Amino acid sequence: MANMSEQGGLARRRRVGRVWARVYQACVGLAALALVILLLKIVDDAFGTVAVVNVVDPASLVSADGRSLDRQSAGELAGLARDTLDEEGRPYVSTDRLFTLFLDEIARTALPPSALRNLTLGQALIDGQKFPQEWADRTLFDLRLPDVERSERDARARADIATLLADNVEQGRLLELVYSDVVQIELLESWNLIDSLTRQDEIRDRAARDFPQATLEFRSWLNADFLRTPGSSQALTSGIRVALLGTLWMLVIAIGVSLPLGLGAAIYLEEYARDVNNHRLLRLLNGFIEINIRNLAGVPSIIYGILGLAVFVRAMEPLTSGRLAGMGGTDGRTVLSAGLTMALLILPIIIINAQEAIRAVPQALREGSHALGATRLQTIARQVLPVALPGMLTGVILSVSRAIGETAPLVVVGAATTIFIDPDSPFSRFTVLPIQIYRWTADPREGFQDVAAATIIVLLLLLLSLNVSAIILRNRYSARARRTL
Amino acid sequence: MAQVQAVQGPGAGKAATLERALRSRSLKRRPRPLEAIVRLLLLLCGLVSILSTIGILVTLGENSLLFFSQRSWQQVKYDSVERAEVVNLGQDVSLAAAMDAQDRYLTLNLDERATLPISEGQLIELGVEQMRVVTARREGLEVERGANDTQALAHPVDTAVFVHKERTALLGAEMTADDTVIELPPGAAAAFQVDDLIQADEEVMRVLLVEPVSDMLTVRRGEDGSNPARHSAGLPLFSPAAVTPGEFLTGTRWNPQLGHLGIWPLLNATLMTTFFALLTALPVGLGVAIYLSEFASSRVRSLVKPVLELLVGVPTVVFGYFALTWMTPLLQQIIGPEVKQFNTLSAGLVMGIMIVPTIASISEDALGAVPRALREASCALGATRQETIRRAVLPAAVSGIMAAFLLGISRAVGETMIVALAAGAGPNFTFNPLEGAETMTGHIVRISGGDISYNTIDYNSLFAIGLLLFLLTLAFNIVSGAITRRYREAS
Repeated sequence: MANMSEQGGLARRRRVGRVWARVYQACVGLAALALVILLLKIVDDAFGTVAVVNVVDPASLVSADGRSLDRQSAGELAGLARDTLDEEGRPYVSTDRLFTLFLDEIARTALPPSALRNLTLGQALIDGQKFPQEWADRTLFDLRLPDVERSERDARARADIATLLADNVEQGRLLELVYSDVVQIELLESWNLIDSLTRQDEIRDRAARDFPQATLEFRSWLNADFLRTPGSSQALTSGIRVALLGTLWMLVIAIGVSLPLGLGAAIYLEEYARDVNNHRLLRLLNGFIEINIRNLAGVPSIIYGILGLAVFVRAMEPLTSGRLAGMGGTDGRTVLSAGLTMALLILPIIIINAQEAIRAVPQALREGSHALGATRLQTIARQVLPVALPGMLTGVILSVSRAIGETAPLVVVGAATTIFIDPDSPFSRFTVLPIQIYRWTADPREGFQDVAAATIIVLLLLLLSLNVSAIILRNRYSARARRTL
Repeated sequence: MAQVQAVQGPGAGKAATLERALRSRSLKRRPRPLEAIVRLLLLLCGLVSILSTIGILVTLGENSLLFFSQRSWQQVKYDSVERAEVVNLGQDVSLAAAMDAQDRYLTLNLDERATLPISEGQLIELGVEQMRVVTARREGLEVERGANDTQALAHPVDTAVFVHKERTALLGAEMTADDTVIELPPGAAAAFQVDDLIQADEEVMRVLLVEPVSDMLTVRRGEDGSNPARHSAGLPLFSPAAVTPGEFLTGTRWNPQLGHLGIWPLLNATLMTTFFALLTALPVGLGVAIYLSEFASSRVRSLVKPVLELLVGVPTVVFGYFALTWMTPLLQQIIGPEVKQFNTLSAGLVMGIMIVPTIASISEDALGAVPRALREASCALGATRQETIRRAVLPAAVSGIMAAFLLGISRAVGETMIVALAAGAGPNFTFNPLEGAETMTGHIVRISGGDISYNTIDYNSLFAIGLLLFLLTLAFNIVSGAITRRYREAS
């Protein structure tokens, strides 16, 4: 200490100390700043001005007597869907698209497609729907591929299907079709929120210069349609419906498997493993299980992905693809494999948290129960578990939030590109929210990073609500525990 | 004992009843089948966790073994010396001007339409001298004279230029099922050695004799259980190449399709991102820990702690998005356009932000475990608060901080999504943090993200990388855990 005072005296030492205190404070500020910037950046991307343009100008689609699209009849709209061609002479609405719309809207779609195609129009159409009398015996198959010269086939099918659509489908549905498939909105450029607010004039000038025909509008990438629609090749029409459902399926499977196993293991380790009269070998085994769980919790998540790929996707393919269950899947890259992989990943977390909850139950409670003559099983089931339950649930919620955000193992197990179909069984191909964020962030096309930001908001809101419920649960539990003790 | 004897004294009859009762079934430990079953079931639950470790070890080990023992057949290449010739014109290439023994530049007779038949890095031969091409332009070549220990000599104008080309060894002539002699194109025999295995179509042969002058091989047909068959001329020959662990751990090129299986490009990228992550996270995390444990009031703590917890709760893919869309553009603004869109610096820095809470919370525990007496003693000796922290508290907590550091490394090495999004897609052995380079985890995600087919070298290599990753993180975790346990017990 002597040399220190020689160097500068107390005042200087104090000053150095104050500087360092500021440095420590700055570290905290830096961490908080990083979080704030992260959140701001996400919000900044998820909202903003967009320049959009219609592929086909609605003004060119007015009827002969000058009525705009929404005033035209179903027949006229069906005609537009049938006849409007792009620059290369191809129709905007493919025949298959028209046919699918027809099936969705009119036919009894409860039947599987194979049965459906052999129905005649007379059988397929619900009473009250109209079709030319002479078509009554035509099957749906014949409607799509009429028995005429090959060169005329498509034109004939288009004409017939359009006629049926015009007669049987509401004007509103056809209007939607014309807007989504013919008019089509294309995204030219997207600006983030801060630019949209502070540099409005600049944006307007640029848009006027670069895209004179485009319209500028303020867009929230996070909206109701975003939650309802599946993914798409267009940023504007992309949604997270399939990913949300995939996340749900994956969670149900993961929790369904790991919850009983995890709680069971925790009860065993806390209530039975420490018995003094256990055999020496059993004690060794118990110790090994404990160490093993601690180490498993530190294994990088991608290792679980590789494990899932080798075990669930590949080795257990007959089970996970659904072939054993007679669902005829082709490979093991299903939501079941994903759920099982995730179950293994969160198992150690569930066990460790549940162990802590059980350990927190006062020993007096167990002793009291034993003293009243309860067996050990009765003590665990009626005294220990009810008290430990809220704590265990908190742990489960925490592991759920881990499972929701985990990406790497599911990319390895899932590997699917874009999926448009809702998962409807454990054997469906799947995508989940974080995988969508990954793919959209990596997508260089205009607008997809904004879609990723909107997805991140949904994901963070989900996580936040889970964590808040965990905190509420914990607080209520500790309040009650104080009252009872 | 005294009490027991007292009971035995006057009321011996009563004691006997008690003893009988104890022996009788009613008070004895009764077998409880239900309890035993439940207990067994619960034990099984615990064993599942062991099963998952075994699963990890077995899958990683088994497939890595396949990777290291798999004999992948590669086309036999040999070095052939040929007259340099412009392929499309059939024009021979020769010196356009004489050169002496010191000249490092040479010009060639070339037709205007000709494409340059010589590329950079290639070995060319003029007379008995070999030269390595440094730069190759139509106007002239820059060469390194006297390559391969040949002597630099003067060469007159119009000296023919020969080039070394890598060629694939093909069957020189048709062979029947009984032939034991293989004819090869000139110079190809040098690529074979006695006892080598060769594969042609499905058949495997063993080389018994090499005749380099006449370019013939004598072989034993139908090795390894394959059947001798007729082979037509021009069939490519393959030789086996197994990856050795030594090659895997020391090689500096990664391209499984071409047989380059050195882990260093991937490992190096992992080490670089980890380095930058720790460079950010260690000082900031330590600063936060010191602030929380030495300065903060309980009110401030209750504000700061949730911020850290929120940072922990953010999924890593979100940090990846942050790195790619915010950190990289920021670095490009600060440093300049030499920052590539994908770079290890940006990924490392954001990873550092992610690890700050981990380091902070473990270091804070370590600082909190330092006895109060130590601080008081230091203050009593006249040290300021800062001096106390630097000279008394930090040295006492150093093992705990070390544990935090190791755990941070382990997390950074295993972190996947940030590097998959921001660090680059493609192995690149570079020490430049502004360039993209794929890490081990990033590689696993990219390779398995496509529809990978099983039992290919790509698929098996995933497991070898995974095993290395697993062992690395396990080592860091174990050491870190051991240190943490020691100071917890000590305090």
